[in-house]
Amino acid sequence: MDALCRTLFALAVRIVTVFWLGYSLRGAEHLPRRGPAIVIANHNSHLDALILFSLFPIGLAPSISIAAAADYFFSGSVRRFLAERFAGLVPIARHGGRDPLGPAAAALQRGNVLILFPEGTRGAPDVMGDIKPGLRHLARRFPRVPVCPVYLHGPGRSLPKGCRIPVPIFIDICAGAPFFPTTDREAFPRQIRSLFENLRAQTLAGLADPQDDDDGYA
Amino acid sequence: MNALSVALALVGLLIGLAWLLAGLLLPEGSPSRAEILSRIRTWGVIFLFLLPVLLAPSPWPYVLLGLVSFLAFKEFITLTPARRQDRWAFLWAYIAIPLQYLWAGIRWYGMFIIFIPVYLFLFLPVRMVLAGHPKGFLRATATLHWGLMTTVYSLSHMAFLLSLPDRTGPHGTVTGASMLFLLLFLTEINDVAQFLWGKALGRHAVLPLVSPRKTWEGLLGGIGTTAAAAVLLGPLFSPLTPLRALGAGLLIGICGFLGDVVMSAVKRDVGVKDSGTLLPGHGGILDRLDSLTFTAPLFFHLIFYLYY
Repeated sequence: MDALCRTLFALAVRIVTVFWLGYSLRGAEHLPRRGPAIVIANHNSHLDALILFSLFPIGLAPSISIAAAADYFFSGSVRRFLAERFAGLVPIARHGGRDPLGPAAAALQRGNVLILFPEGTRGAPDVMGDIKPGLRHLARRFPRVPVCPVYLHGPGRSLPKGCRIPVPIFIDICAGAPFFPTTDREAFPRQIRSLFENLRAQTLAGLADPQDDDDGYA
Repeated sequence: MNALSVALALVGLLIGLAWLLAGLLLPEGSPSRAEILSRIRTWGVIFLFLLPVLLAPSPWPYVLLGLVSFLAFKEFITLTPARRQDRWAFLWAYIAIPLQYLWAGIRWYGMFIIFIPVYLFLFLPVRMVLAGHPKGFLRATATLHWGLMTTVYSLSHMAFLLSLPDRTGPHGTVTGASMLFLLLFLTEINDVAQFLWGKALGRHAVLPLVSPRKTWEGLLGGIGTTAAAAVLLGPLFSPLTPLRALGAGLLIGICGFLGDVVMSAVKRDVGVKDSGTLLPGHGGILDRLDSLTFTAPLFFHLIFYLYY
């Protein structure tokens, strides 16, 4: 039953991400083919999670978990039901609690792919916010789980914070090679930050005009 | 079997043959092999997409052509920088796409011809000014309207061509679909011929700063090829006499080139190589439609002025 709900959700999401928006993905070979694995991305829009979710085959949909703010997505029983059953969200208690990462850790233990936003919240487009320590704690608990970084260019413009209808634009996505984050408190934010800086530069360079105008026909 | 079905079968055959020959003749592992094969394959996909546009009953051709405008406009919007507060104006501009194709489908010429150039031209800046940010206002309104005019208004003339009633041509009855086929075939053969002539003989760039690979040799060879094709095919698929068809061929040859370089200038301005990644081997959908944004309205008005 759960698997069916998740598959339906995956199909519905594709209408938005493939038809309404449309995306191009580079580095597809870096994306994990099975769990347990963590996928991290920059976060500017509600679309981010939906786009990442639809990068994986529909068959994998039931075993993908999306880390989401407990106070936002799990408030109210209807929201909670939809979030858990259809979208496969796992709650992260942003303001502490005994084990804020418990549900996310459980998902990894089940062998799921966990989608996580290290900034914790949506920021301004193309500006990287502060890196939260959640990923570092997970990396310490699961040292053998690879982390795949993904840069998303466009969602923050299509559906910024506080807006309801996404403007159709094409999204550029660049996935980087999987890595194992450092567990050092000081080095960790720097590592994640420079990783995303690199991916961002790659994404923008891939679109740029290299002076050689081979745009096909005359 | 009418002339259109025969022509479509021949074009399909031609693409298949080109793919086969390229596969057989290009040496395995040569750098251009994969590129050329993917380019020909994409021509095949475009051809398959155009079959229902030319042959299916209404409303499908209009839905499919509207989808082309949707993708092209989306690509244009993706390329150009935008202010956050203009989101609603963009959404309204998207709503204009199905409406514009509706006017074409119900053959409401008066509305079709002024809807975007007049009503949206006035409405979209109003929607933007209500957002209340004058900084960058002119640039934002101009960019949005330019995108609508090229990717929606210009291209929608293909749909109105399709809606034109039958006429008797030099070789029997011609339909809107056969005239649309003529426009598409001549525009695309012009693109390919200019490219191939340029590859073979190209020495002198026409506009080195905009598009260094477009040469006088390619341009003239392409225009000559297109004009010859127009003289042969024009009387079969449109009411044009051979002499008028020659004029139409020259028009498509020259203006196809102009549409192409204008879109190249836009890409240069925003600093991208291709307009997108939708058509493997070609780039984005705008990279393939650029010449049509000029030839579609001009060819339509030539036909409309002479015969309707």
